Amino acid sequence: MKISYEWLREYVNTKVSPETLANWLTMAGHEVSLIEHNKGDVVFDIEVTPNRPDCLSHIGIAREISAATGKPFKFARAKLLKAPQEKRGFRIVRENKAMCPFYTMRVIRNIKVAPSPQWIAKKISSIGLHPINNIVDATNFVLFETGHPLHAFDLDKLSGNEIIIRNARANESIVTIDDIERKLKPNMLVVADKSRPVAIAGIMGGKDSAITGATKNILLESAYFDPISIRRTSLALGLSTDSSYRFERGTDLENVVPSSNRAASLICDIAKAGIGGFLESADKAQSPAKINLRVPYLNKILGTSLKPAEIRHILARLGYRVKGVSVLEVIPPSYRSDTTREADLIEEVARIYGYDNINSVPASIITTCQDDNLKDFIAKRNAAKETLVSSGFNEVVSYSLISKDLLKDMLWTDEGFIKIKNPLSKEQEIMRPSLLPGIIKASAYNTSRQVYDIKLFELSNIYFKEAKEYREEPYLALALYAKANTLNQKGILEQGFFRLKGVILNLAKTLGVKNLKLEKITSNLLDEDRSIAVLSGSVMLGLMGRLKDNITAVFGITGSLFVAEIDFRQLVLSAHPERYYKPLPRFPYAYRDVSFAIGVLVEYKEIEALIKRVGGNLVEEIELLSEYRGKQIEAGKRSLAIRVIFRSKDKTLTEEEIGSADAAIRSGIEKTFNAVLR
Amino acid sequence: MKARLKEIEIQALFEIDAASTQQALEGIRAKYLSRKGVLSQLYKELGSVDEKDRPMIGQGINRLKAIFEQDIKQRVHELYGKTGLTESEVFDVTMPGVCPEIGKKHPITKTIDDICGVFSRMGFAIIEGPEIETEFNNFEALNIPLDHPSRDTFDTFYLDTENFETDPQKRRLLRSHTSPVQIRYMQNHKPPFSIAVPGTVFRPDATDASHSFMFHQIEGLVVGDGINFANLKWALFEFARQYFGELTKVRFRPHFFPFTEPSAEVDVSCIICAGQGCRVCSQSGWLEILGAGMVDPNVFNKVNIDSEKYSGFAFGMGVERIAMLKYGIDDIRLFYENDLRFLRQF
Repeated sequence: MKISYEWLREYVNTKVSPETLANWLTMAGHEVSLIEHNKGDVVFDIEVTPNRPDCLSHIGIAREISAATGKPFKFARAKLLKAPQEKRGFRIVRENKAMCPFYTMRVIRNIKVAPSPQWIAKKISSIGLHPINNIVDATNFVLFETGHPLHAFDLDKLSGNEIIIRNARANESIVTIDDIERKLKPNMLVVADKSRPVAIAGIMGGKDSAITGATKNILLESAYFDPISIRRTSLALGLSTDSSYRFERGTDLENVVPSSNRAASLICDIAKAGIGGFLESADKAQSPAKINLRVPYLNKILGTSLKPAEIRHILARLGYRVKGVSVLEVIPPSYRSDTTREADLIEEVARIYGYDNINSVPASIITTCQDDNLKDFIAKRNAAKETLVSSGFNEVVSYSLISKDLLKDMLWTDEGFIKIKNPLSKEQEIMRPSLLPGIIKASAYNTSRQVYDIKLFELSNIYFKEAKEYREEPYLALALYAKANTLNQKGILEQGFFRLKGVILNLAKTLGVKNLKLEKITSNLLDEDRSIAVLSGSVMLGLMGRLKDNITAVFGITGSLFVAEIDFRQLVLSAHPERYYKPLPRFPYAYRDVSFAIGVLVEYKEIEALIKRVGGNLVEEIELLSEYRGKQIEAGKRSLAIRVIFRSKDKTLTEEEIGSADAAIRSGIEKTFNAVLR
Repeated sequence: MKARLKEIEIQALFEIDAASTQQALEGIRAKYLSRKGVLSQLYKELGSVDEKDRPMIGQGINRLKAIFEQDIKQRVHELYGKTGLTESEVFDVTMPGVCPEIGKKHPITKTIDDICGVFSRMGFAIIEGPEIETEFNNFEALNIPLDHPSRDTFDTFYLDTENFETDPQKRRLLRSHTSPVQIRYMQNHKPPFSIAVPGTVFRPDATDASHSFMFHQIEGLVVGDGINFANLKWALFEFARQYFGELTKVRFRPHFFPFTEPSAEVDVSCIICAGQGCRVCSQSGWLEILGAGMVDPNVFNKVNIDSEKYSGFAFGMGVERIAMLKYGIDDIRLFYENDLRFLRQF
């Protein structure tokens, strides 16, 4: 909200510089976000918090300055003007009293609509409004002076003698002064004459009863509308005005009549008009409730040792009436409907006493422990991230909300995803049921910017509906890119695949996954015969493989993208990272290499199992040295070179012992797999 | 025996001097100093030496052992400690190093880890909670009534639940702040406690350089007997000092939050210009980084904690904002584009 320094100084006599004043306001809770110098004046842009509608005006801010500085606040509320008996027999009919506990109207006759005098125009423009005419400007002036919204109707455009405050009728509508037809609903409050609504109460007036250059007589409305009703209507219509902004935050009941009087006398003065009758209709005013403020409790909450006299002094400066010593009886002023509880008063005292003046005191922070499940989960999540980062993978964070199209691009068929009721755009219409779309998109983002060394992981939630429950579960996705995508360059393809497989094996090892198994699987996302499932015993943890070419192509990636997605909750449940020490070997090892040509359909897994079986417990480790497929070798075959490492835990192995184990392995491979040793 | 020692000494020292390779020296070491070497043999023969000469001979062998070890090392230095290399031995040390390939955690993760690390060391437990929440936990329990303008700052994504209009109990939303985790924690734990809660939050804001519909927050809550505003000041001052540096100044400004009373916005002295005033802090010298306050009694009432017996403070901060200030990042979208050229910088 904009506040003019010069205008402000009419109500509080302060000589301090605008910058100092801005700092005081900021430190009293009204953050000045901008100080603008404008034609000899200075304008503050103040962020007024939603609990302080009383500060949405110049007198409101002046009151705060007066409280903060002790300088007197000067604003004489306008007196009720002497008025002749109203000739036309008006009546206020409050059909909905709950939504409008107080309504007043003032008739002003024989006005002369003209440009505002200089002093009003200047004030109005100083806070960024355009002067329109003396009537509109006068109501705006009073709005920004006192904070109370007013509305002026063209009296001669109203039919009948009743001003009715009622709910809108079914199918009723109104064209508001901004020339838009608004369809009204029965829970919306309107101000109506005999035949039609003439204003959406507290929000905006109707076009056909608005002040024009030809207006002669006006009816000036000043009222109190229920904040909740105004807010609901304003939200439903998508229409927020200076007026609705104040009513929905709560206006000052005691300001209804003075503001009306202020505007009426101003209009009579500047539009050379004659004052007419005044009518009001109000529920019985309730006297404000007393609040008890316990001085010891205040000091306990703030960590201060304020004396009752200091507290009384602060509250009095803010306009509160205070009695008592150790328990203060406090009555708030009518404009402070936000303070209804002891806690509210404690904040007021702290605010004016100054947060800066409260010392910082070390707290007896109670060392708190994480619950066991969470502790275990967070520890394993950190371990997983550390492992992946040290394997060269970069963590990505992608949006949890994605477009349905993104799933379609992945040929996603499951409809169990969660939709957003009020998405901002199609890009955020559903919650991701998988991390893969995000990580593929991130990979594509990088390849399209000539970044090809792509190793990514994301460890975040996915979301889905299960048996009508809305679930979120942590998942882990990995992506590794290789530029080649043709079979001729299968070396590169395989490097990608086995690299990713190795990372998953390493991760499983670090976390201590029990019974880890990798098995071939088919998936509509991944290449056939080139994708595997990751299991712990019989529990499925996830899958990995090379994305099918049609998927990578849809995302605009040329090349191969190897991906994996793992149910991280399951992974954590299968992980038991406890370790026991194994004594170190005391005798040296020896190794023998064996190379052979073998049918491509014989899996390495089988060869490995055979070597272990035949070599017995002398075999410590089996290492794949190389694989060769190509021209040098018969079609349908591949050549493998394998290193077998032998060691005994009891003695140094002799040449004979090693030789006989090696021979058994060689002949085993030869006979079992019909392989040709080289 | 004494003469033999002298003989061995002369012979060995001659051999050491004559050796011109490392292998030759290793051979000499084996010959004289190994378990089956000459000196070991001499030790074995000690028993047959006259008892009165035994200590003297023993010391003599020890002395030889020390001399040989020393001289072999000395010879290694003579042989290999040369200065200057031939042209073919020289390599270009200014060629790039071979860096082991390592990845990086996302800067958001890094920022969360760093901040939570500070609170962890202060005794806070790091707690997490779900992103899909109820209206009760996200709003009502936090004293944010449905029809109050204070909800304006908490615009929220709702899930498309069945009978959305008629069944508010079953409505679900994406939490618009991490504060609902406070509610969950207080429902299940008795005070006193201190927790810090990092997490992802969502608000339907149009995306631009400084707004994102998804971002991250870290929340803190301390509840106990006699916890007061002065303690809150201390906790956040300590945090700022530890995270932003020793010279950081902290300023508390009154503000309004529905769930705390009194409430404050907390500024730190600008980390770019050290409070002198610059573009980043709009010349004010201060950067707003936190919201904080004393837990509103209404919040305690909602979770059945006796607000007469216990009091507490709470605070919250935006992770992206802090990361942007700390690393000088000027566009929030960079965090979610996942450009590796960006990610590798942290």
